[in-house]
Amino acid sequence: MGKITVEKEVVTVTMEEKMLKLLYYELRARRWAMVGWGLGLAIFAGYVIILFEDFSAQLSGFNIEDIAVYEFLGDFADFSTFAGFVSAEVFIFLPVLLAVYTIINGTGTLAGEEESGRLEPIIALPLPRWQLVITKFLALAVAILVILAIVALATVIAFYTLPDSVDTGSVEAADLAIATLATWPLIMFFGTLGLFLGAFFPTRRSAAATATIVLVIGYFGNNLAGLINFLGDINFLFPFKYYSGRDTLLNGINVEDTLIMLAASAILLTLAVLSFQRRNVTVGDWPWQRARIPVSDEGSTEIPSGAAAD
Amino acid sequence: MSNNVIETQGLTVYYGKHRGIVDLDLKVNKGEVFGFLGPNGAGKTTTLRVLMDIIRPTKGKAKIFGLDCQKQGVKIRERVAYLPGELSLPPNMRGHQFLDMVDALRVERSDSKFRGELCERLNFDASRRIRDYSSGNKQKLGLVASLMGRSELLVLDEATIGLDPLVQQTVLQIIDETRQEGRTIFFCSHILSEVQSVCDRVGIIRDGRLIKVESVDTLTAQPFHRLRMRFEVMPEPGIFVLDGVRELERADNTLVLEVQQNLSTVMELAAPYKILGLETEPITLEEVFLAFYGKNNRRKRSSHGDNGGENA
Repeated sequence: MGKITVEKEVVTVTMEEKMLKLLYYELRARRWAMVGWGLGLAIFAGYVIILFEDFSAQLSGFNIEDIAVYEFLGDFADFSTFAGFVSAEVFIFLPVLLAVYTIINGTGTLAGEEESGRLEPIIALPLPRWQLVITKFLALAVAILVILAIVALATVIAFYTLPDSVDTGSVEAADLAIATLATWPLIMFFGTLGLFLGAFFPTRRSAAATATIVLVIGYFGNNLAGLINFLGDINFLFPFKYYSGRDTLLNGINVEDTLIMLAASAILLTLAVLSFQRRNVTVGDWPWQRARIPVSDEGSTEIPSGAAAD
Repeated sequence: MSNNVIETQGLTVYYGKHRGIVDLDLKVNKGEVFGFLGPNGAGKTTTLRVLMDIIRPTKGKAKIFGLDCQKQGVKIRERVAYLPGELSLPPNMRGHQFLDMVDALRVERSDSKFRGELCERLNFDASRRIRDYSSGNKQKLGLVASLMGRSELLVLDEATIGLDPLVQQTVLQIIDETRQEGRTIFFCSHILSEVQSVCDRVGIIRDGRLIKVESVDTLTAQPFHRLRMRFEVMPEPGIFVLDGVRELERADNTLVLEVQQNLSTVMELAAPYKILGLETEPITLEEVFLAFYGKNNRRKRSSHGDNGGENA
């Protein structure tokens, strides 16, 4: 065990390289989750599409809209058509399930790592905090895109396995892929919400609970908006208003809704950066929380000032 | 230009109503190993976290290389390596992957040969998954991560915790070599022996306050022993009431004494009771600290302000 005598070789790492490298490690850490969620949802979506062949005859003439309470569960309009069936069975559950994943991931990425202590060695590296948050956001965004791409591929494959006799209306394979990928802004809204709440709340648990409440209210509030006038008036507040699988299948991506969701995510990301920039990491504070020095009646500090010697 | 690598002025951190550190004035010189000592909860980690801009001070200023820790944190961290005291690492990564990641996020890539030599010296296998490492191996990984960049300043919090004695010695040797290269080490610990062996100066922190900054020579010049003696016949209480002798423990024919003075008298008094076993035990910093400053000093500080134990 001799003394180390190696000369130092200087190779400089740029900011972009640092972010890309961190992004790589973030994605690497999520790779099995991406594969698991991607394949799981792909099997689910593909199976439902294939099932339409068996159900189409049974659904002929069936009008679920006669039962208004079904609106509570989601958009079941045109359930007997291919677009309506796939929308109700795939494109209602897909964003909800992935929103759950992104909430888990979004709150886990800052708040979870902070609570486990894993953030401390990373935050002590020469990386600005905003870069850390942006990179975590990008990792989440790419992870969701990969999952959706796997699901989209499965929907296309499933579509081509349907016999020609099955009436899919105007829906083509590409429409299924587009409708799948079009859920990305809505899902990212919840992911960014989780990221922001993870940066803002003192604990992951409180962040995840709040994001889940927003998810539940956002989903059922939008469904009930057609039944309850009051909710109809504030429907614009519910994130699920901004995505409809059926409309996307039949009419393509709604650009306005997509932009609204992206703008909301951008605002939440900004808030996440500001919160994380401000907060005391590792101690579970609120971002803007700063303790005050206890002051005695005389106006001096509670603990007498110490004379630290050097 | 100031020779101070680290400088804090009136640094104060509160967590709600709880005290972190209070009015900490500290200077660490370039090229020295500065030991930052104190019992658990004294405020060591809080100080380090403020220096690394992980938490923000309630009051006061902290500078490293003359740069403000809050406003120029990134610039500072480009030149500093930090080993947290409670090291937590991503369990699914392999050791070398974690090192690659840390390397990639630093401004300058480390020398792979140097990194390999560090692993070899610490007897560390970087190819395994972190979840499979023992706590000692995780600590080794943290050490390699903080040492491999050859930063100008190393901030090490309990660097040898969980390591076996041989590796502890190697770590202390590496720290000594680091000093010889002219780099600075801020070395947090509560183990006196390792502080004695590597540090030039020490700062003692208690209850969030820096009590004293002292050269190690002065600190170690204090005669101080802790004796664990097992007797055939237990000596009666009070027999060792001597200046500089304190009875710490008495049970099952075993007596533990803290001895600063009158060691030979203690041995003479003990001999008639037939000593069956005699051990000297490692002394924690807290014990030295208490021996130095004692409860009276503490009371004095509370009522009149701290004189830093100048008479100790």
